[in-house]
Amino acid sequence: MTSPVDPVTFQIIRHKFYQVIEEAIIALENVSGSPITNEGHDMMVSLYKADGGLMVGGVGFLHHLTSASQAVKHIIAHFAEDPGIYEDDVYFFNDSYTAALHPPDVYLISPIYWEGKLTGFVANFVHVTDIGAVDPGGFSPNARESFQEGFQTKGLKIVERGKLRKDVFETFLNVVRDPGMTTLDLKSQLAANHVAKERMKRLYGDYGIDAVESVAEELIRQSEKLIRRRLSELPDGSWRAREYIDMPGETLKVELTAIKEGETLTYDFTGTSSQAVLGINCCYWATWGALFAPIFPLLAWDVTWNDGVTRPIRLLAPRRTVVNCERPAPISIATVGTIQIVNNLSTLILSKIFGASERYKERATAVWHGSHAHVETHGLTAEGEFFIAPLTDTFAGSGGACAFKDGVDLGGEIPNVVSRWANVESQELNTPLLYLYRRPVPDSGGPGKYRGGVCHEYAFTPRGTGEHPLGVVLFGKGTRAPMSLGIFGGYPGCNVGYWTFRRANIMELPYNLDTTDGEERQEQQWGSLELAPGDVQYVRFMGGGGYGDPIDRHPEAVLEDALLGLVTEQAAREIYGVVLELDKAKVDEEATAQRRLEIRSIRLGQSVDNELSVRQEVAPTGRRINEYLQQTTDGSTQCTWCGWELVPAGGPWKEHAVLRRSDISVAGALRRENSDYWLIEAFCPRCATLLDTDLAQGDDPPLQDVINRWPT
Amino acid sequence: MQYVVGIDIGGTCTDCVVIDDAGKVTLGKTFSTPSDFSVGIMDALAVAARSLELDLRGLLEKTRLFLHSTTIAENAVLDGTLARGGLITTRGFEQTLFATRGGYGRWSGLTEEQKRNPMETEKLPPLIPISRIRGIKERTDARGYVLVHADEAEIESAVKSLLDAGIETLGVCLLWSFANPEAEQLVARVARRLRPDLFVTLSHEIAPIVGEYERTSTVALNARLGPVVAHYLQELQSKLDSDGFDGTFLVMQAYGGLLPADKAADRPVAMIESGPVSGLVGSKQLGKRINFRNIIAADMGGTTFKVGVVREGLIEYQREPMVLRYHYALPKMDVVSLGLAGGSIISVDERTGIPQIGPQSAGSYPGPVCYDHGGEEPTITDVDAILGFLNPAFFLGGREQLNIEKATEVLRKKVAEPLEMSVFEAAAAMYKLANSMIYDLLHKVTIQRGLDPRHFALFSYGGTAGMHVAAYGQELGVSHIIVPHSAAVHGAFGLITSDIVHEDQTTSAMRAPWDLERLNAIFTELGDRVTAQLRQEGFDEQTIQIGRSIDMRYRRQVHIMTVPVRDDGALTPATLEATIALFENLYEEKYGRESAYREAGIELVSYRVRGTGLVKTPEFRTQEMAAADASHAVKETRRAWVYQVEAFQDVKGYDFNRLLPGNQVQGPAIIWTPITTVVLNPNQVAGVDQLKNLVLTRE
Repeated sequence: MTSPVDPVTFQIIRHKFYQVIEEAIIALENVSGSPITNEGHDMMVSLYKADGGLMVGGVGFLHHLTSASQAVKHIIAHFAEDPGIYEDDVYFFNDSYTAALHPPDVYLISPIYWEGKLTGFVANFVHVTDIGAVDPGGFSPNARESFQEGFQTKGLKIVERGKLRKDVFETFLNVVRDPGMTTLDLKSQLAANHVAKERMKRLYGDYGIDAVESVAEELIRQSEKLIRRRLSELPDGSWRAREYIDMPGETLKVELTAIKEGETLTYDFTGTSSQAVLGINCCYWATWGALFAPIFPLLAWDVTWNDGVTRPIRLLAPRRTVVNCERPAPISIATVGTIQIVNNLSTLILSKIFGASERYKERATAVWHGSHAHVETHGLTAEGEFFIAPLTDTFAGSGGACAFKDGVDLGGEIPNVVSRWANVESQELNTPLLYLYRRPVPDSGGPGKYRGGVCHEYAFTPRGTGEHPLGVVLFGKGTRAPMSLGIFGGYPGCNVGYWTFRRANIMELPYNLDTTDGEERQEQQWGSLELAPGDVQYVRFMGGGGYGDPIDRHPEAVLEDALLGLVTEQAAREIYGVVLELDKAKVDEEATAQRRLEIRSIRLGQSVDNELSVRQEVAPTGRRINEYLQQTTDGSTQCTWCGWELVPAGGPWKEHAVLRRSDISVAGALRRENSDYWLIEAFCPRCATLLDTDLAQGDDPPLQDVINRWPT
Repeated sequence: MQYVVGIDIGGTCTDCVVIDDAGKVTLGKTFSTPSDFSVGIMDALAVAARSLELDLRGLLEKTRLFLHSTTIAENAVLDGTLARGGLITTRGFEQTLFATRGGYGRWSGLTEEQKRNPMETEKLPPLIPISRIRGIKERTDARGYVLVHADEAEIESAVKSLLDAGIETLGVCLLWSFANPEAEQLVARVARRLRPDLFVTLSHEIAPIVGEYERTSTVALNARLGPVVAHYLQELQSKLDSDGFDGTFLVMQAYGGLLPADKAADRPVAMIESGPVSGLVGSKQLGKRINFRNIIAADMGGTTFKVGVVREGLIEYQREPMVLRYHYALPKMDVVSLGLAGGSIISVDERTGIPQIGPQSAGSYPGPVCYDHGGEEPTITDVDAILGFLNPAFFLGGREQLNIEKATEVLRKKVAEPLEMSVFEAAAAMYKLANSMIYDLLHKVTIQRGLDPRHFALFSYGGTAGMHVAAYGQELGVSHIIVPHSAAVHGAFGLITSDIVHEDQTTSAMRAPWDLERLNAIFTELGDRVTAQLRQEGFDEQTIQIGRSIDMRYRRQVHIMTVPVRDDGALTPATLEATIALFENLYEEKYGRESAYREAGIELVSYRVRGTGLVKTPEFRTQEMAAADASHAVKETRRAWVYQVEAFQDVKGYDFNRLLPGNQVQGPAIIWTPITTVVLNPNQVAGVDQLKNLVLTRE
């Protein structure tokens, strides 16, 4: 320990940093009226150094930790002289082309002063009720340029030396649709910064500014040291991951290569599609933040989230692509668009690296909650009051399967470790609508040795709008392309589904998609629509990705899933190769063994030796490639299921595996049939174990990972 | 002579307080007996009886009131020894428990560090599996309007199939049932017709609040606890009866009041953590007696530190109560816990060299190293022993030996060496760290809620508290520190100062213009129900108090506040206006100026009536005051750590039993009571008051 502070004081101050953030978050929740802030935890509070560097990151949406840092840096660089950064000033910032993620996620940034000297900043964000864009609520599926996406500023002083600038504040309120609720959003943010500032000052007073600053610096050094050490403990090589954004009229590809060398990690997005017509684009700092949202909890779970974590990481994002767009590309759907895709890829690629390490293999996870099928509503109540209300369902999420356990059913997401939905009753109390059902979806989780967590489906109808229609804004991705991808042979979670039922059978109280009916049924994905009284909107999310070959799943686990209604009997048989006697609550073991052998034979198009249906004893060499592959001491690639050496030294293993381009519905029901997306399945040529699955569109090739060196 | 008996069962000990008609208090303390708690109860009673020169039967025959708080409910949840439950709910929402509001069930109740590592987090299995949940076709909306009525035949077949599945208890939670209970009531009628002795829990009765997840979870907990707790209470009752007891048996509720044992058996979920609540109530009542209306009540025992706040004579309710990370929504007095107490284990992180205290505890077995029960991990109690606070002659009445040498060796090896400190430096540092963590928790429940500790007295009780209170109490800046005479059995003490409380409420949203007639009809109905209940229990006009309150919110805002109605009788426009004004004040006080969105208007959400039956308990007997000089009570002088000067010094040790009311002990000093130890800083003086409480003030 190089810090001049003794270890006990160090621990006390570290503890206080978290407490400052926690108190600020409570202040934010207390004042905010918005269910997505209070119940969904769509927010963030973090502390920054005097130069804008991330000092201590809080919880909430983690892609904001680094982006707000960039915003603070911008304010220092551009406004320190004019109009100046004074004690008790507050800056409003939401420009994505400079630092932020999308217009409605507003940063309020407050400098912290101690004895006349600038000592740091506190910044927070909430998703404000409205930002004055073409569509109500801040997500603008109808925008084609950022100029249609509402009020955006690279820094606007709304509080000057402790006094609210009424002219500025009212100018902003003048452009938004629901100034009352939006005022409350900003007030909650002001309250949070105020609390954090006061608590930091008290900390300086109690322990001295030098002690506090030295602890902050030491924490950054410590995080950097530990992350560099952790990276050096992982193998060197390059790994690849790919996802698609299925938009109306276009499909975009995001390609990521991660190069791990020694104690550094470089993310390279070469090969990614040009920027999109619709608002799913990411600016550079949004991509940077989106990479870190999974890096913090997956790679840096046990260190302080600060600048130290970011130092060993590099980003290459080609210009004018969806991961580094240029004006006037629209960006308002970035958070649930490309940012989420980057979250998914960052999760997947870290997990691939972990999976190649004996030491860290248990950190590998498939993608969690691949697509926010978020819904915003707005309109007039029966009494004629205007409202904007996001539904919080997307915060339920679903866990990806891990190397040692199933994904958590309705288990949340990685980029926001504290998300949750609001109760139906609390949603109905605040929004003029009625839920018909809200339930887990069988077979929605990605099949695998460990199953992805299931997601849910729900349906609602207007209630309390009188004769007024209920406005609904949708911007769905993943209705065709899977996004909750599996890992090491695991299959993806289901596709997102949106259906609108006109003049529906609501008085029969339908309780799932099958029982929901109407005079007309329309599939939706993107844009705005209106529900008349009696119409129903249905939404299904995307279950988490699976881990490992589904026929490697323990038959009893499949039985338990079936008994809980999380997997159907048909999927058990077709995908997991498990034949159930559900009425007796047992597995037909003989039929299961037969079925699993049959699946192996179908995979190879030839019969497979019966003894290969069980995993053989294969001595680990310490050079793990993934769940089912390793490199032998002479450099060849070996299947660790059957011991077969697929590839002699040096060759890329996928060229020697049996590859099958399968319809994505191979992963189960609720996956789109006959789409132009494929799963490229790679099987061991001898035992037919599913070694890996890649998602591909059209003729896109399988992905090749290369491992150069394992740490000794 | 007649007696009132309070028995509080804790994790480690069973505490007994007996007070006679003359106000004389007798204490008894024994180890708890988890396999059959009644054994420990009878032991504790016998200990107290001996002090009174009676036998057990002699004491019980003369016991007018038997007051009880117990850990049976939380233990049954922790041990998983719950009854087999079934649940009936609204079709389409059967998986509300399974869903746990998404990730909420995965991360709630975890520490900040645990939340940051989602890979190693998991949900608990649902309290009731889907195989024993039936959805019925019915729907009520947010205003209590029934869209689709429940069908009796469908209910009947649902209940039958659950009975066939072997359920021992049934929970019912339908959407918006608290706005219109008719469907839940129908289910109850059908269930009781089919199985008259079935334990049935209805959500609108047990937890009439907005939010189906928390409400269902409450129902499930209550249902599954029901048969277990009912059995326990019945057994205890018959044991007491057979030993001659002929008085009234009352049970503590976590909302801070007593209920007759048969009523308590219907709502066992309300007994969860009622023990710590007893301690909080005891502090409130003691405060009333010695003139403190603002109290921070801190209980530091073997495994947890618990803290609650009394503000202007009132105790606040908890925001999101949980047991074993299962949520429940009941008015529960706010007691916050931290896994930090005497048994908390101290470790040093190998990679960072940063020391950590808890949350693991050594409990009483293997216990702290110095207990010599086989403990190998250093704990806070070991630190206290090394710093010279513990006196073997007083430790657990002198019955147990202390192995301070071994504790010193273990702390040296596991903490001092990794920190590159001497063992005494390390002990002092850990003492400081523990106090700082406690300070943070206290800070959280005071300053963070807008309460200024300088206006509060700190009541400190529990076995380990006295050795730390001087340090963190001073840092917190409280006005006084009180170590109650009953410190070691404070929960039982709380029982004998509690009253019988029945609460009832109705939810029905209302906006201006106010319908006073409807409002008064609601309050009349609730009031009549509660009064009838109390009258049935033998209370009359003199001993019944009725309190009313309204839950209100600003529309479009999330927070709901409970606001007392300050007048009796029918509500008039003026009283309602005054109540609304009070809401606005309280809201601003709690959530800060300008936090309200007034333009949206105010909504009344629920209406509560709280009926109190005043239990007549004797006054405590006070003693005459002696002179200030305490030198007669000095037992010995020993080397001990003095926190304020950060050094070992010669410190006087006092025998509490020899101290007289009026005596003043000047710090630095140590005071040994038969069960606990109190340490004073040099600038502190401990006065002994007429009730033999220690009152610590700054010089």
